[in-house]
Amino acid sequence: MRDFIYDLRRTLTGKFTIVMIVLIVLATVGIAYASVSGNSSSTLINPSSTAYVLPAVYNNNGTYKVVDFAVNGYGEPVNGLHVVTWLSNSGSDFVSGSSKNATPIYINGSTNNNGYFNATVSSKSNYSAYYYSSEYISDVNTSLIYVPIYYSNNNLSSSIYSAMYPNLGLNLVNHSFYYLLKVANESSKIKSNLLIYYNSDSGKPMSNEDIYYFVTNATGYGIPMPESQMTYLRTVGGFHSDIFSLPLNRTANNALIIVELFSTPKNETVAYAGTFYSSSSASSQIEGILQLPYEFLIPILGIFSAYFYYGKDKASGVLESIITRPVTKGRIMVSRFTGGALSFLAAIFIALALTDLLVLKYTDTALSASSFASILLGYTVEAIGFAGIVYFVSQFVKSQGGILGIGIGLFFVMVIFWSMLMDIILFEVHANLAVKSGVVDTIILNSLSPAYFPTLVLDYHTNSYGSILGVGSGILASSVGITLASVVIVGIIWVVVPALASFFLARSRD
Amino acid sequence: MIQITDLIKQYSRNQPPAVRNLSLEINDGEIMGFAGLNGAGKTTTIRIVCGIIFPTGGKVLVNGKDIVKEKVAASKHIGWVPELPNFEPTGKSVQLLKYYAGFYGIPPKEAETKAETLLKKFNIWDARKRPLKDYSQGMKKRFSIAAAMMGDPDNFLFDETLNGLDPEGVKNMRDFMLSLKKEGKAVFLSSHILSELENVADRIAIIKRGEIVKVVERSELSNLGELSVKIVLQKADDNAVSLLQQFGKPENSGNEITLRSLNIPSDEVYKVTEALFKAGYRVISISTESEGLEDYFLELVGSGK
Ligand SMILES: Nc1ncnc2c1ncn2[C@@H]1O[C@H](COP(=O)(O)OP(=O)(O)O)[C@@H](O)[C@H]1O
Ligand SMILES: [Mg+2]
Repeated sequence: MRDFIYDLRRTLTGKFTIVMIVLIVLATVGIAYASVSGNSSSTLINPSSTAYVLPAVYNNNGTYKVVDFAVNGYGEPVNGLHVVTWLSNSGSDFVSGSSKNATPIYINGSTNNNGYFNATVSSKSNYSAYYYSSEYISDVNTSLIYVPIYYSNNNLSSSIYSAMYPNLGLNLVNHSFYYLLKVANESSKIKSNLLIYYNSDSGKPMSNEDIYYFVTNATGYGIPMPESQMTYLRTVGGFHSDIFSLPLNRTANNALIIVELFSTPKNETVAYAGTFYSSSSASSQIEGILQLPYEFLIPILGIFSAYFYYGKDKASGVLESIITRPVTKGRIMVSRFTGGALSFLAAIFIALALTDLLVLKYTDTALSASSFASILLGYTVEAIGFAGIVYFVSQFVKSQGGILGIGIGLFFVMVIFWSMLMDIILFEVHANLAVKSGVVDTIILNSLSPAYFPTLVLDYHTNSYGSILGVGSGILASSVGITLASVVIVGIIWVVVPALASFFLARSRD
Repeated sequence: MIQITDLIKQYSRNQPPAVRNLSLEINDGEIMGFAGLNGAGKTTTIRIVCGIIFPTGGKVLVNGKDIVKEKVAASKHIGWVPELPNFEPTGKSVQLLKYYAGFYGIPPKEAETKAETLLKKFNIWDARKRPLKDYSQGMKKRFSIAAAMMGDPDNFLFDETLNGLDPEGVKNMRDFMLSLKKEGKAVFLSSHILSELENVADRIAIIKRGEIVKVVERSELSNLGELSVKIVLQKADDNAVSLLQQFGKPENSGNEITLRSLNIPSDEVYKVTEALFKAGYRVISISTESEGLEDYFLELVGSGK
């Protein structure tokens, strides 16, 4: 055991290990810095050229009062927004009992300095829907869709959700509208604020209500949630429009944040919204940063480290002057392999931690512990897997050039062309990728290369098969066999099997 | 002490065994020569004893420990000096010796002192800052001896170590091996030239195609070939030559007389000295040489099928 620890320590402090760690850290941090420090990479629409119209409409015996409030992406009032609206009783979600043939009434105008557009029209017809559209001052069309809100007797049957208002909560209670809207944060590209907007027929500001919130990664949840399951934030009231930030943990990115307003003191839900805290999470950013360089770096790391710490020495005979010492061939192999594995873990850990810090500094979001662990383990296991294959090859191939050549070949076959080769096999065996068994076959074949392991771990972690940078394929990972057990088994296979095979061969062969 | 019993090594099925049923015992305080032509199986035997390759059959005990089954314990007592030194090309001597020392549990400080002593002893201390790949062949050989001594083992295996050394190098190496013997170490020294071993080995095992054909004692050695005695006198004259005729056929050139066709056994050569001394000659040196030894060796191990 002492000899094992001793040689392990030397491998860990070896020149190649240090160089490897420095290289991978520099490369990763460099790429991370380049991609997070610039603003140009942002694909988000500039919030200041976005406008949301928050409409309210009241019907008092044929007098329709319309109040439209326009805010930009930050939740600030928008002055001069041209608003095109009309009252109608046609639509897909009719409230029964209304006449279907009323002539629409068009109500057009612009918002004032405070962001409001007010209008009152009278009609004998019974309108059940209020359509509206808006154009921003700079003539940027914020929407070509006329979005209806439906109402009947001043009550909405459900909150609406549309492409235009991705995270809007709306409720209509007693001649008053509550809006909970996710808006951008001026100081962070990724963080969001919460806009609460209130409008009532009487014109009074909002009375005191309690803000509660709930953070979840689960896909199964129901809204509205009972107050008892949520976290109390604060009691607010006395305004028409105000912006709040949620005291969210930095790792709560890409989680669903459910916000509800509860009336005081009755504790009834008056409004609720499901809102994503961040549209671009640290994990998908870091994934994006690492994916391309690591696709090449990690296998190269595994292959070359195994070559330099073992294959080369074994083939050249340098290992012989060590083997005559009080140590066995098996232990030398295992200590070098373990040293390599620990150095991969250290290199990737340092690189990932620094990248995480950089992303945190520039975007104020960070990896959750589980995201961090799955990225770290995914890549570490991949590197160990490739190293293991080279250790195995070194048991048979007796020349340095041969081992190196096979290592490089391995890189091309198992990294660059692997998924293509597997696609050819799948095609040849007429696998049907549209059915689950075909997808499972694809996963199994791809898993025959360590290069696939990081993807597998990520798919498990997000429970979404084949997602690319956070955009899912719509297939639940668990439904195609990517479960904790299968991922752990594949991981253990890559860490243990090539190494163990090499160990037994090293022990028994010259 | 090294005990080799019925050792067999077959590298591959379609090749005859490189070593077959080889048994040999190298005792403490003994220098065992190991002579055989190239390809006879010397290196193979040594590599098995050192635990680098595995035997196909038989057993090797080093200080009573099985080199296969008790590798770690057995290796503590092994010092191997390879035929072709092969070290980490970019390694530095002190560093590497310290690394080796770690396997014996020698603390770094102590290892450093030890490395310095050894490197100085073998005259390569000055080269300690240079990478090993820049060493000359002789320096590499000396470094590998230092490396073998790092664990202070009881048994040393030298593979063709005298081969290719200049006369002074050979003398130094012999003296060194004799000093190991004096310390009670077991020394195993291979060579493809028998006469190289002649002046240093206590016994010589002669190997031919993987088999020991003969183990000769040093005393027998001089009887094997034709023995001659070389005498250097302070002043040689015809009387001295006729005086020596009673022991064989003397030939003189200057003050040097070579006595051939001896009629006395090799262990009675002192009688020659005695006779010269009694007759009042001052003997500067007297040595025996077995001129036909190599012929004898070649006949024994020769390629003649
Ligand atoms: N690694 C090996 N693989 C196959 N054959 C070998 C190997 N090493 C040596 N041999 C063969 O074994 C025989 C003995 O070689 P060796 O022990 O090197 O002889 P020596 O040291 O006496 O010159 C030779 O026929 C040689 O070709
Ligand atoms: Mg040899």
